Order: sequence, then C-alpha cells, then structure tokens
Amino acid sequence: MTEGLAFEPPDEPGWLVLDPDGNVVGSGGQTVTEASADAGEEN
Amino acid sequence: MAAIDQALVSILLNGLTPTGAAGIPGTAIGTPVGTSAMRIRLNSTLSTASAAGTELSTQTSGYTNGTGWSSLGQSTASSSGSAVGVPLTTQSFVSNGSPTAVVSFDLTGSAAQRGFWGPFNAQPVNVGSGNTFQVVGGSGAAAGIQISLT
Repeated sequence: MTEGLAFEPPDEPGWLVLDPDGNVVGSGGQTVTEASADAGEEN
Repeated sequence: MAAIDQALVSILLNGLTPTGAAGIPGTAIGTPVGTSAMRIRLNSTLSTASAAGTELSTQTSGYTNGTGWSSLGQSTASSSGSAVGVPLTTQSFVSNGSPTAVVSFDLTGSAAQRGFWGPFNAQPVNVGSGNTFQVVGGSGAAAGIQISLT
C-alpha cells in the first residue's frame, strides 16, 4: 500500500520582510493550512 | 491541528446534507461567508478553531484594522482536490510598530466571517517600524498561503 502525502508544498517563500530600500531582511516558507475531514478521526 | 473554524465545519456539513426544511441542503454556502470579496485578517496572537487572534492595529500603510487585506484577487480554483493558493495578488503593509508582530491569519468573508486560519511559518514575524511585511501572491502553488481540505 502506498501511503503518500495528500499535498506536498513546493519550496516557495510564503512571506518576506523588506527594509525601506526593498532589501529582503527576513523570509519564511509557505503557510500550509490543511483541514481534515478524516472520518476515522475522533476527538 | 485542525485549521478550519468549527462554525465553518458545520456550514460545510449542513450545506452538503439534507439538514434544511423538507430535506433540502441545510445551508446555501455563499450566504454564511458572504458574496463579496474575501479578506485576510492579520493577527498578533494565534488564532484557534474557535476564535481569531488579536487583529493588528492599523499600520502606516497597507493594513487597516477591521478591514484587513481586501484585494486578494481571484485564486485558481481547486481541481480534483488540489490546494487553493491565496492570495493571487501580493499583499503587504508598512509597519508602524516597534516592532509589529505578525503571528497568524484568518481568511474571512467580507463581513469578517471566519473560514480557514493558520499561523505563519516561523511566527512570530517581527516587522520593524518602516519595514514591509509581504505575503507572496501567485497562481496556485506559488501563493504564500496554501489551503486544503482532505
């Protein structure tokens, strides 16, 4: 049985912080927001 | 961690099952999330499945408390269960904080109805005064926020 990810995000920047000159001073990956409708999940 | 507001879970379930009068679908999805352009609300604290985080105050430019980012553009539609990338158009604000901490977001309807939410990668993002915080826009997988339902 193959068990794979339903969704694998690409290696892309999600956010940037720029200084007033437009230089990148910070960055982070994409925000992946995944909600599950797994019928087998019990809370 | 669930990443969808519990009220929206019920809206989706009710909209897809005969929970309405005489067995019609219970809720027409559209009304609960509005029919005008959706928005992104930015928060300085973590949102949860029950409530949004504390919204950022109005910044020097690009972000107004109570409005958020409201010109996201039309995201590429999900197909065969694929994720939806948000926003299509890059969004940004210039900080007036010392610094402004960006922790989480809520994707909302035009009247602030909550939908999907999530913490930003590597949060808190501390944005010094005069600096710009930007969420990358793009089509599909290129957008800075990827939303999926499995």
